[in-house]
Amino acid sequence: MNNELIVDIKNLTIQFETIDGILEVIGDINIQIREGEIVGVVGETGCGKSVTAKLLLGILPSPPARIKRGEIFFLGQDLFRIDAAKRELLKQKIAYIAQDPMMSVNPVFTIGTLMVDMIIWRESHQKFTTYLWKRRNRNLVKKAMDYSASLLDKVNIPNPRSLLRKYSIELSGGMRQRVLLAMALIGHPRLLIADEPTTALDATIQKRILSLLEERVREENLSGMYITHNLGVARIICQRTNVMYAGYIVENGPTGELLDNPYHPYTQGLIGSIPRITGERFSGIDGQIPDYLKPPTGCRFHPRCPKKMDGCEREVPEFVEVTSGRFVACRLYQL
Amino acid sequence: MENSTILKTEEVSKIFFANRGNDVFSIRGEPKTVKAVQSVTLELREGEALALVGESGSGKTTLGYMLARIFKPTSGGIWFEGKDVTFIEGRALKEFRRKVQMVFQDPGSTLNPRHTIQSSLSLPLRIFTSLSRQETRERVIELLSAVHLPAEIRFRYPGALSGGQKQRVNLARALALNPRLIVLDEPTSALDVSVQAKILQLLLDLKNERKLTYLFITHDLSVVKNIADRIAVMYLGRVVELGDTVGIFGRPFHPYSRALLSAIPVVTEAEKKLLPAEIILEGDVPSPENPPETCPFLSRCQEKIKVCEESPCPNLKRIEENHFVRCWLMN
Amino acid sequence: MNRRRGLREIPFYRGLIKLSRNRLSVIGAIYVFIMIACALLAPWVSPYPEDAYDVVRFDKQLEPPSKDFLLGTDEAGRDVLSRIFFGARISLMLAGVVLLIAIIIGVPLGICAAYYGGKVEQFIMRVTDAFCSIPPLVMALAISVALSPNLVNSMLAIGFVWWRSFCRLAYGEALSIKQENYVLVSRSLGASGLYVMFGEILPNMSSSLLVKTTLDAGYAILVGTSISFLGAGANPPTPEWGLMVTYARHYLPGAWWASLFPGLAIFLTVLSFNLLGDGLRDFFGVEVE
Repeated sequence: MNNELIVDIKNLTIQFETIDGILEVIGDINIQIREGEIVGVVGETGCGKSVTAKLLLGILPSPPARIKRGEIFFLGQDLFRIDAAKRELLKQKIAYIAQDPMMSVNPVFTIGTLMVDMIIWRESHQKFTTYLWKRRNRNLVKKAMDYSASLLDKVNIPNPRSLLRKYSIELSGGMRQRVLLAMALIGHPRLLIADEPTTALDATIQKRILSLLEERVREENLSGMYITHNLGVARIICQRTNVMYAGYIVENGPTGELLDNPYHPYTQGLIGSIPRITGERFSGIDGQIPDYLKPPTGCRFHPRCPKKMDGCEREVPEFVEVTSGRFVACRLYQL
Repeated sequence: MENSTILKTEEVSKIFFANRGNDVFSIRGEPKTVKAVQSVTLELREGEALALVGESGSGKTTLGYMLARIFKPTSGGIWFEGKDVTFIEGRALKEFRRKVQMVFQDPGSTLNPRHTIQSSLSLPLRIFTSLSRQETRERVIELLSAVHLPAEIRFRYPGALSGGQKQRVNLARALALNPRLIVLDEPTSALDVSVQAKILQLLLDLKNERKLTYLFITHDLSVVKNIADRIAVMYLGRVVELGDTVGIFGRPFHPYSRALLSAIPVVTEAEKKLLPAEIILEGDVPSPENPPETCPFLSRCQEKIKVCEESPCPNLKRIEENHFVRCWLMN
Repeated sequence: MNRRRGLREIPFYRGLIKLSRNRLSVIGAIYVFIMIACALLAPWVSPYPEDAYDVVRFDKQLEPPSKDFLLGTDEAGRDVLSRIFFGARISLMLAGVVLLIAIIIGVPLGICAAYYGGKVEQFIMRVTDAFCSIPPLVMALAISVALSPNLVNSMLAIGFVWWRSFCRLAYGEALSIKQENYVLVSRSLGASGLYVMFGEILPNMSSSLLVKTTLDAGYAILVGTSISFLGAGANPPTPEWGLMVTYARHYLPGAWWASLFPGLAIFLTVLSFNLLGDGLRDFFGVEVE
């Protein structure tokens, strides 16, 4: 199996400029995604996981946001250094599945129209007039419809042809999420970014969508970035997981090991907060997420950390490999 | 010591009437009926925490709203403290509200963004009591400290509070009149995990301190395992399994309960071993618009037998001490 | 507890800073502010305050703008500039009265219609619809003439016609606010209808009301000056802008200053209220026609 590095984010730091001042939203993160693997980005509200996804997709509004430092390599190319045209081409290889399926599909068009539009637009090399011309071409539309039906079949939708004629509001949440997945697969992407795609779904449906996602990633040879706040879901679908807190990645490792034996105090606190079937005591984490205007100096977690040591407030701990394949940014593990 | 029944429902149903037809384009079709809750008979004992568990369309929220008299049942009866409260109005309803409070799902939307916390918290006091301004102020501070919030927060607006803080304020408001029963609709679903744990702990502490009874509406079974004494699993408006938490987790009987349990995304291996083997349900969660006359779970059940397809909906039958199931497989 | 709060933390100032990003609305705001200042300080700012009413100088009729009379004189020899300042007073007062009447009648009606629904809603909204079908200027004109044309009657007439759009706005807003969970909580606690309508629902539409009031101030002034222009409003020698235009227009194009400057005052006033209102609308993010 090819171990090509699909995504390589190095030392990325992002700032937001607001009327209150400069918010350091993402501070020095490193994320790597290899071919065929699904990497989880786990964190609570406000930790910066959605910002990271938006940046990769290129939809982070850039006047308020500023990339202060760092590089993003996608398929080996530095996204910031190449020219806009090449960047656009590369971006077509990234697909996105959003959180709320209700909001992400245009309710005024049939699924078929939506998918055919997307397919033909891709064939038009970003030229609107070409698109208008091609859209009238019956042959092309028919081919696009066939392709759409095959994609819908891939996501286990029974009766794809009849679904193409339906509107999104006629579908249940689970169906809509599958349709979104099918749409995401249109351009043969290499990377799939999923932002909490199952949060709005019922538990039994969630299971099915997760296994479908896994299957698709395997068959299409994709890589995935799965963003969630639910550690249990990460366990099911992510091979590796990054734990984010206040814009920093505090821990990284194979998901199973990470959850069974967490190193960073925040990860430990998170896992300790989750109510267990085994009935053990669960307690939350004291304090609140920091104010990004005046974040804590040094390690951003130190005000809430039960294992805080002297020196934690002085410098941000380095993200180092502690045991094979497991990285932590914590003073406790620096010798 | 037998705990007395504080709230009881008998054959309670709720049918919503909608005027739209099935087709997206019809503006007026035949009136549709949505049978949200069908003939539910339930008892809540004093001091316990009962969880109503189910997915969307199960009717758990509607049932909870009926028990808090936000909705009126279409048929059946509700008794509180021995008295029939199904159709009371006016003063009797007001007295009922004093004793039965509700905490809603989204903490942000239940606080008026233009009112200070002080104003929001003193609302029930202003309606139900005739405390002086000084006394009201003291009571508000007292309530805030009961939910571990600083007194200064009462001057702020909800927009300045975090999700966890807002939920605590909602809780404080529910406690303002010293109720006996609180209905909680997914009280922690919108919160982060670390905050969720604190709120749940707070709920448990309050229950013990003030001898409250809780009716929990939720879809999160991990939460249920830690906070509920009894569980009622609902599907398509009916209770399909009812029993002690320990019993239901340890020996889940109904195929739906088992599928639900197997779908819990647990974090550790140790927990995974305690759950039933993975059952992935085909088909979608059906809508309560036209529930079948047979067992509601028939269309997705993987263990159905011939009897299930030919018979009407089974009744809730006892299979062991404090454990009831609605399933033909029992015989 | 005694932490010094930076100016930036006070919501009002944050609002001002955000609002100031929109250049046009800042211009509008500045003009409105100047206009209000001039109106309030008219007796002290005008070079010839007595010209506002009774003074007549036949020897200085229709003199072009000069050092003594910065905007020239009108057909009775009165200083146009001073009369414009006093006219600002009248227009502002008109806008104030009209909007007050409109809000006091329209908003409670709209909220009641939305809250109670059923027959109450039907009745109120159909009456409002009836009012909406008649152009405001025509109706105000008719009423004013019927009542005997003077400034006060024209204000009442316009106010009578103006309540309908506030009723519509309040109705629409109340309908959507009614669905919010906090309203449900209040109702389930047994709060009285009056409290829910005016204690819970009304505060949440305050930003829409503010935007609409600002936008409408300009239009109300426009309608008021139009009615006076047509002779159904203020009577001479009142320094009302519309009246000034209508009397001076006979002397166009020769003595252009006597009708142009009051007309310009009307134009700038309406424009500024509009710009300010637009800015407020973007700032609050509300949808007001």
